[in-house]
Amino acid sequence: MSSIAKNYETIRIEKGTSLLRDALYRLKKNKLALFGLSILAIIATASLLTPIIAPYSYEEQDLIYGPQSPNKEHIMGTDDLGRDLFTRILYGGRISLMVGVLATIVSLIIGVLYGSIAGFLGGRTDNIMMRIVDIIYSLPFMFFVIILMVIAGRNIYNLFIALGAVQWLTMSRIIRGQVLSLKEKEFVLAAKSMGVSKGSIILRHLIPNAMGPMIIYSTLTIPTVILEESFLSFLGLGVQPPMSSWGLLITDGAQVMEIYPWMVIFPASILALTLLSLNFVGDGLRDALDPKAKKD
Amino acid sequence: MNILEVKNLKNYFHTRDGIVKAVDDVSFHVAKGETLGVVGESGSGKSVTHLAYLGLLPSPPSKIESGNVHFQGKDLLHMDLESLRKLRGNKISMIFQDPMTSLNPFLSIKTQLMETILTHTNISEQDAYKKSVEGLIQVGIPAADKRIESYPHELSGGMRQRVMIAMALLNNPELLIADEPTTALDVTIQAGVLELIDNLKKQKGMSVILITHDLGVVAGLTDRIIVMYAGQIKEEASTFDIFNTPKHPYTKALLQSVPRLDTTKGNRLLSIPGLPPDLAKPPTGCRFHPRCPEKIDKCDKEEPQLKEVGNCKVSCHLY
Repeated sequence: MSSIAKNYETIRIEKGTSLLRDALYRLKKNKLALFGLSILAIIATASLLTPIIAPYSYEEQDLIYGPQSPNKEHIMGTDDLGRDLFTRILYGGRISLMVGVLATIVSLIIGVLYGSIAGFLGGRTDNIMMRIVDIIYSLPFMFFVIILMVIAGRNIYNLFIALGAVQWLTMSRIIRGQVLSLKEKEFVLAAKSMGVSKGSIILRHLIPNAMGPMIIYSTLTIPTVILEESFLSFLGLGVQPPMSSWGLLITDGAQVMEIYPWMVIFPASILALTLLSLNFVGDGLRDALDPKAKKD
Repeated sequence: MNILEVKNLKNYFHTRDGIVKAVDDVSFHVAKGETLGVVGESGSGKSVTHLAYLGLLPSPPSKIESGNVHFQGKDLLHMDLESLRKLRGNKISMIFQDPMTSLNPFLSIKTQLMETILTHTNISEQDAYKKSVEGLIQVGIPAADKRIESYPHELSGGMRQRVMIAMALLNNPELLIADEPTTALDVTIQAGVLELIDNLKKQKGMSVILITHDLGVVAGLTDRIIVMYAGQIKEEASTFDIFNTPKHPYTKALLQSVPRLDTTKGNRLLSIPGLPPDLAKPPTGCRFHPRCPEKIDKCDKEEPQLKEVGNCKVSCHLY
């Protein structure tokens, strides 16, 4: 035994590859997902660097010619108040992406904790917790967001929280379902038999195993939240002018679509491109995280 | 001295189809440094007995109806859940049947080994890491300091079972419960794993409960054997007596259904006719009587009690 062991020691052993690393490897082979990722990277960088790359300020007006179609000075034209549309799309992107990502993170945290606790404890606790979710589900959720916004005050951070606070419901249901099946797995019994506490079992053993559906559903939540934000902004509860978001730009543009089509075409295409990319990435991740898929 | 004393343990499952008496009046003990074999076919309650007093069965539907379980003098059944949790993996460890599913696929071996140590002892992560590597070396895993970085799917079945054993032994338990530790492994690896358990047991002076349905496994390793059928103990005797002078018809039938090197050519291997009973509606009298070749009149009327016959304990009307 020991001589064999010694021989083995000379063999170089590659560093372990986790399921996540495998998933990344598979994701790299998915062209559509890669395309989505690069588009998202470009848009995210542009949003981060907006103050540097924006040619104008978002409230600077060029009123001499009124609304201008795309030209040399304003590559995407200007809006009816003479503000540079490209600049406004850049600034709007910062808001939209921030709302999308932060509200999704809020929904992720609430949903994952709530769902995994309900699923793990099971029985009556689970029943009560999930009936609460059902009740909240049955409320018209926009109404719910509006109430939250009115109570908490209109500012952008409350918007994240309010949107996140209504988006966690589906996430908690998904995670609960995952945990219900995962907790019957032997490794959970093994962990229990080793004396690992309930909290550690949920946080270290169950949640990581539910990572796949969690990531995928998040990529689908981001577009939903971006669209909801534009609806709230339209109602005057979201972003306040002169600041803008993609949703708001589209709403403004849609009103004058027949006369100044570029005002809706540009923001709408950028939003569509982002949502499409997110869906491609989500789709790619779903395939990549499928443990049944082979590493080839 | 007895490290574990189980007296009249009853654990029932309250299901929609009625009460399933999975463990019905089971009493046994384990002495310090002893290896106890628990044998029985699937569904005989051999695993459930041990899961029950460790608090590892979901309740509801499972419920301990009555009985007494003492581990090193401490009452396990009336202990609060937190103290019981601290006992598990520390003083009492378990190894499970299927090493393929007993390790968390998302965490490296290192994380899982260290978790076991850090749950029970207050030492630095570095020390826990060192102890984990030592644990792996102890179970004969080559290049342990590199292997410890691996994830479960990168190891073979035998390796994973070794990791499980290492994990169970990290905190130097007094009692190791091995629940069919070799069932999922192929025969060549089985021998190695069993030998490993035996060596470590001798090294550390701990007691072992070996649960299995494979008589070949218990033959070489155990000091004493309990034969279980339908949630009850049918026979308890030293390993030597079980194999040489089996008393209960069920034990005899079990032994005859194992292929042996010395069976004469042409003889058919015996099998026990029928199926284990539905424990929600167990047969009246002796639970084995519908399948028993030596059935007498009172078998289906009166339930036999476990009584001493010579050096053994048997629950059968024939004695």
